[in-house]
Order: sequence, then C-alpha cells, then structure tokens
Amino acid sequence: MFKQKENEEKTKKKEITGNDLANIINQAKKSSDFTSFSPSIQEEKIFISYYISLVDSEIIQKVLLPSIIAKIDEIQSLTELEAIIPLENMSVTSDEKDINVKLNRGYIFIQFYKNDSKGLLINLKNAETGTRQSNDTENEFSVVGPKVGFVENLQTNIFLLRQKFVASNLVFEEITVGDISKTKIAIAYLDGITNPQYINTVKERLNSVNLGVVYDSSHIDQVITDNSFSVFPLFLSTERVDRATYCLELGQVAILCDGSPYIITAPSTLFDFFISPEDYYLPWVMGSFLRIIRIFSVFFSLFSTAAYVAILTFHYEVIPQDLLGPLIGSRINVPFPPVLEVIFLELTIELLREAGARLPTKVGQTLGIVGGIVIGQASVEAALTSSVLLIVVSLSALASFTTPIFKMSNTIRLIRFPLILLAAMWGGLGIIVGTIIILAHLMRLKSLGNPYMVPFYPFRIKNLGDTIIRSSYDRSKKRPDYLRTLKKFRFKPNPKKDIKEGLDNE
Amino acid sequence: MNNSTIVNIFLRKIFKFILSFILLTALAGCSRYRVVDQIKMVDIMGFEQGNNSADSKLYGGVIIHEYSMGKEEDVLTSIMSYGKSATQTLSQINQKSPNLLEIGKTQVIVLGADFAKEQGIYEVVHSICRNAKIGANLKIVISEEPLSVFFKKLTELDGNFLPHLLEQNMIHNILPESNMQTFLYNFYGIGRDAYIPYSTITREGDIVVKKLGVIDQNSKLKLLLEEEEATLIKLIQDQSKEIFFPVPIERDGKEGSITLKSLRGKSNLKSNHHDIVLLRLKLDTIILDYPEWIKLPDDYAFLEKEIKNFFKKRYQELFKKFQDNHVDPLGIGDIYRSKNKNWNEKDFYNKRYPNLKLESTIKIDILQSGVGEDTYE
Repeated sequence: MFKQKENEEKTKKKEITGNDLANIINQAKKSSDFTSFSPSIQEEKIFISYYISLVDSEIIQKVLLPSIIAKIDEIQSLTELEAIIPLENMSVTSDEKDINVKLNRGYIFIQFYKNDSKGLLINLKNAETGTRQSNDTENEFSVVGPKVGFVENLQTNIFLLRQKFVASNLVFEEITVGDISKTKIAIAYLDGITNPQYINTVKERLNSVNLGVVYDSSHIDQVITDNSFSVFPLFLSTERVDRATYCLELGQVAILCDGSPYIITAPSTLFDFFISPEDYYLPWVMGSFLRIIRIFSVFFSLFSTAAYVAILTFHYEVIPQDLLGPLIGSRINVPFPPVLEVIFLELTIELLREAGARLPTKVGQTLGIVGGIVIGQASVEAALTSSVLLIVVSLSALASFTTPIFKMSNTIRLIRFPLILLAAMWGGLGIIVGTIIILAHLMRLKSLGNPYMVPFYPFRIKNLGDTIIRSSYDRSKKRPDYLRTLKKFRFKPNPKKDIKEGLDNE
Repeated sequence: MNNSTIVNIFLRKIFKFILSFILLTALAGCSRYRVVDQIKMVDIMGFEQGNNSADSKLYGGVIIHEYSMGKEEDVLTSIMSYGKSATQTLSQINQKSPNLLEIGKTQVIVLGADFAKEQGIYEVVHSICRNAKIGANLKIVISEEPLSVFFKKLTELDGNFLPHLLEQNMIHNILPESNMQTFLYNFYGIGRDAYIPYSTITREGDIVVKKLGVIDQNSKLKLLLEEEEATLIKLIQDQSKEIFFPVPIERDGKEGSITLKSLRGKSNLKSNHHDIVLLRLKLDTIILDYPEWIKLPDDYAFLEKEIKNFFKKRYQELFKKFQDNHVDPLGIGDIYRSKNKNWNEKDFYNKRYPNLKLESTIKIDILQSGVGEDTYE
C-alpha cells in the first residue's frame, strides 16, 4: 500500500514533467502512420512509438520485438533494455525536442512505462523506401532543383513529404474512398497553419464521394471539384515533391491518393498554374522574367491565331504597310478563307501532339520532326496554308506548352478554338466577346470556396508580390492573406550579416 | 432546391446565352467581310478639276499596290476617272477595277494646284474626311503638275515613295509636321488657316516638296510660301526644331553666308491684349559653314547678333505677307479669341488683323562651331 502511494506520487510528478512528451506523442498520433503500442500482453511495461512509414518494419519484427519479448520479465530499467537490444545507434534521452525531431527522422522511441519522461531512441530509418528509380519528374521538368517525383505508393509519397518536413505538425489523415477499390486517400496539411475550414471542406467532400473504383487522383479531382462544367482546372495537381511541399507550407491542403503519382493541392488560384518551381530556385529577377514570359505566352497562345483571322478577314487597316506584301503574297494562292486555313493548321498541330503523346517517346520524336517539317512545308507548297500562318500557329502551340501544369496547358489550347470561330464571325468584336465570356466565367469560379482569380479579383494589393513577378524572399515571408492561414509568417529572414566590418579591420 | 428547379435555372441560363448570341449576330450582320487578298488597297488618292459638265466636275485617281505579284517587286497601277463628287469619283474608279477598292490604307491624298486655287478643296475634304475608314496619319499634299503627270511619275517609283518623302521632310527637314488630324484642326478651326505641303517636279524629273500652300477662309489656295518661309513656320509650330538654315551676314563691306543648324529650342506666340503679337523664340544652334573672315569663337557675339536681326526681319516680312493676303496659318485669331469673349471672326480679320504688329524676342545660343579649329595663335 505504501509502495502504491509512492508510485502514484511518482506518476503524478512524471505526468507533470512528461506533459510535453505526451503532447508530442498525442500530436503525432493525429497522423495515421504513427503508432505506439506495448509488446507485452499482461502489463504495459514497455511502450514503443514510431512512424510506420519511416522505419524499417522488418527489423522491428525480426530483431527488436523478439529480443524484448524474450526477456521482458527481467527488464527493470532503460539501461537494462539498452543492453538487451542487439542494435546500434541507441541513446537514452529526455529532451523532448530531440525526441520530436528524431521520431520524424525514422527513429523509434521506447519508453519504460508510458509516463516515463526518459526514453530510448533507436535509429531504424528505412533507407530503401522512396528510392524507386522511375520517379523522375518527367512531366513537370525543371532544370534546377530536385528531380524526385511522387510514385504510385501512398506510403512512399507520405515518406517523401515527411522527409521535407521535420515537423510533427504535418498531419496525414486517411480516408477510404471507393466501395470496391477501398482506395486509401490521405489529406495532408500543416496543423495549426492551414485553415481548418479548408480541411473540413475537403473531408466533407471526400466523405460524400460515392464511387466504385478510384482510378487516379485526377478522378477524385473531378468528383470533388467546385464546378464540373468548367474547362479550367480548379485544383492543382503535381508530381513534384517540392511543389507539393511549397503548397503545404503556404497553408494549402494536399490530397494524396494511393496508386496515383499526382498529388492534388487546394485551394488553388489561377496564377498558381503558371508557377514553376524553377522560379524559386533562380534569383528573383530571373524567376520573374521566366514567369512573365510564361504569362505572356498564355495570351499569345490564346489570341494570336484569333487575331490573325480577325485582321485578315475584317481589319486589314491595322496591318503595317511593310507586312502587307509578304502577307498577301503568301496567301494569294490559298483557296480557303482565313478561318478554314487556321482551323486546318491548328487541327494538324493537335493531331501531331495527340499522336506524339500516344506513341512511345522515341517514335514520338520522329513523328514530331516528320509532322513539323514535312507536313508544314508541304502544306505551304501545296497552297493549303500561308507561310505566315504556319509561323503564327506553331508559335502559339509552342507558347501553350510553356504552361507548367499539363491540365492548364490543355485548357488554353482548347479555348483557342471558340475564340477563332468568334473572330471569324465578328472579327475584333468577336475576340472581345470571347474574352469577356472567359473573364466572367473565371471570376465566378471558386476553388474550395476560395475565389479563383484572387488576388486580382477580388483585388488584394498586398498579395500581388508573388503573382506576375516573383519578388525576393525578403518580401514574401508572409503567407498569402486569401488562404486565411492561422499563422501569418512563413519564415523570419535574418538581418544580413556582412563581413565588411571584418575586412575593414584587417 | 430540387432537381427540376436546378434544371430550369440551367435551361434559362442557356436560353439567355443563345438569345444574346443571336442578338449579337444580328448586330454584326452588316459587318464588312474583306479578306485581305481579295481587295485592292489604295495607297494614294488624288483629285483635281474635271470638265465643265456637271457629271464630271471632278477628276480623280488612285494608285494601287499590286501585292499579288509577290513580295519581290512592287507593282503600282493607277486608275483615273471623272465624277460629280469625291465619293462618286471613287465609285467610278471602283467600277474599273477587278477587285473591290478599299481606302482604309490610303497614305496620301493629292490635290491639284489649279483645283485648289479655283474650285477650293472644301467639298473633297468634307466628303473624304468624314469616311470612318480614313486613317488619322494620312498626309495631304498639293501637286503643281496635273494629276495624270504626277501619278505617272509616282507609278514609276516605289509604292511608299511619296508618303516616306513627306514624312522624312517633316521629321528632318523644312516642312512643318502635318497629318489629317492637324490639317482638319487648322482647316475647320476658328481663327486659323490650314497649310498643305506643295510638291513640284523639277526639271531633272525629281519630285520635291519644299513649298507650303496656305488655304484661306474660302478654302482656296491663296498663298505659296517658299522654302525659307516654310522653315520659319516650322520653327514656331513644331516641337522638333532640328533644321538647317542659311543666314546671310555682312561686315565691313564683306558679304557671306553661314549655315546654321538648330538643335533644340522653344517658341511661344502670345498677344498682349493690344495690337501687338509677341513671338518668343529661343534656339540652341551649331554653326556649320562660315566665311573665311569670320574668326570663331571670337565672333560669336557678332554672329548671334546677326542671326537675331535676320530672324527678326524675316518674321516681320512673313507676318506682313500673311496680313496682305488675309491668311492666318499661325493661328493668331485663335490666340485673340481665347482672350476675348466678344471675339468675332469677321470683325477680327477685316478690322483688327491687318493692323496687328509682330514683336519678336529672339534668343540664339551658339553651342559649337565644328571641330579641328585652331583658334589660339
């Protein structure tokens, strides 16, 4: 009885001191890939906690657990336990920060009784997971920066993300979707940063999804989207780990789908689709330049062929005097009106693109050369198109491929066609009408209930810093207001420490 | 909201969309469908006096760029015809062409000198400039030669010869800058008269635009200004004052001439509420050529004084000329109109204008006088 009281007192004390440790473990427990259990059946003498996705479960099952269970009755303290376990890289610590960081790095944490403030940390990091050879980011290529992309395995994808965040507030919540496939879908967010409204919205939408089989994350994307009539992608989907990390850091929600190498992030704005990770790896002036080129190419791709049709059909006045000669000279033998000519060539390019996408890479390249050079040249010589148009159409096709996100570049190529038809009907007026329809549609769109055109509509002047230009890191330390994050600052830049003073004293 | 109302709202939206589409089609129904290679674009238009009969009061012509021949060579053709009015003449010309003529890219309008002197240009200007297709950057020129001769000469040359000739002379040489817009402002504006470049063909067969024709209030060509006088107007009216100017000088019985190049400057015309017009002109200049007996830079002060007196004298003479001919290309009437509520155009030009006096304040700065000069002995 006396002993019991003493024990009670001890545990009380330890509860107070072990408060932070319990918090850490409770926080980590929010993630579905975190586990803590006791190997013995009778009493919870030993407590083991770790992230399943990070550690090598084979070692735990074949080496760790047998050695503990064999001598579980004899163990009286942590040091004894340390002597029993036949593994290296062990340390006893009570430093909560250390425990927190190491848990996230693939250590397992063993406590002697649940409320002990001390614990044994063993490095069991699984080095093999995530090192698959074929997860290069081929579809969202970037010259600078990491080339690791997500793969088809959810555990690996979680591992890849967790590698970037050594923080326990990165939480993965798992939801099973699909009556037949029972696909595991993980919602990732930064706890205490991401606005809970977005998390709840995503959860609600995912829970109400009624599907048999989930094929891919883009399948989920279409089902939970705000407006399924829109040609614009409302959620960003990426295979790049760094891009997903960036979105999470800003305070967006990521949706990982088992069996899909593409991760959906939401809420997205229109300008998110024209960001390339390279913008952030190069100096901000360079990054801004690249981004301006990308945005310019969107406009060029949308309007150049439509403008060609409108000008050649209705507004000959705006053609510069010196251009009239070449333009008319190249068109004089073409029997079709400009619209048919343009549609003929645009369809040719679309055919080439589609055929190139369906064929194996090497055949696709050959096809590109055959199509681009032979068909282009031959159609000009056969007087089916004019050579000026050939330049315009191929430039606009080229421009449409500069958009980093595949879904968005498809959208841009698609909405070109109605613009061409409108231009053929009403000339410049038609282009204006088409632009107004597109703009009105864009302004009504919402992504997870967040306006799609923000910060341009509704206008938020303070958040313009990272849209058309990519301003320097000193200026973009805050998270954008429209994401309504719980914490404002992404980071606090250090004041610059110059070595000038030291040199002056030399 | 049940399912049928959603469908209803959706259908209503689609109906609205289709309706606006149909309405817009109706709106654009009369839009002009002109494929660029199926029309003939007029480069230069011209009008002059026709016969005495009513049906052929005007004689007009157009010069067309034949782009269809390929981009290597420019082929120009001219078509001429008679007609009642400018528009009617153009439609007569159009009947002689295999393709539709479009005047949207017209660069120059040529007016015959005799026609401008006798018949006046009002009707032609009125009918042409009200056409919405006419561009604002169009140039107007008066031709001394008959239209047929002038056009024959032009078709032998490059298609852009005349517009480029005019533009080059306006930017770098003596002609005051003018285009359709400034011309119409001067032409229709109260208290000012329009001026038009005047082209001649020299004995060697070159087209030269050196003179300036001034149109009076009856829209007839009243006065011809020579090269020097045109330059004096340019110095007042234009922003750019970068021109060459020969100035005669005299000292101790020796006569000579210096070539002045003005680089930049400021000009200002004002009235002092009484009968004196104040002209202020400030020029930064370079002396290019000068006679042997001038020693620079010692003679700067002398030269500045000579140039000043020269300009003063010339402006007096020019103003006198305007007064004698009852024309006002400097827009002095407009200056007085802006100061006086009871200003009346007729009274002003009949009573007050002939009695006005020009008082010019001229400041000349000589910045350089060439290189390679050894002035220290």
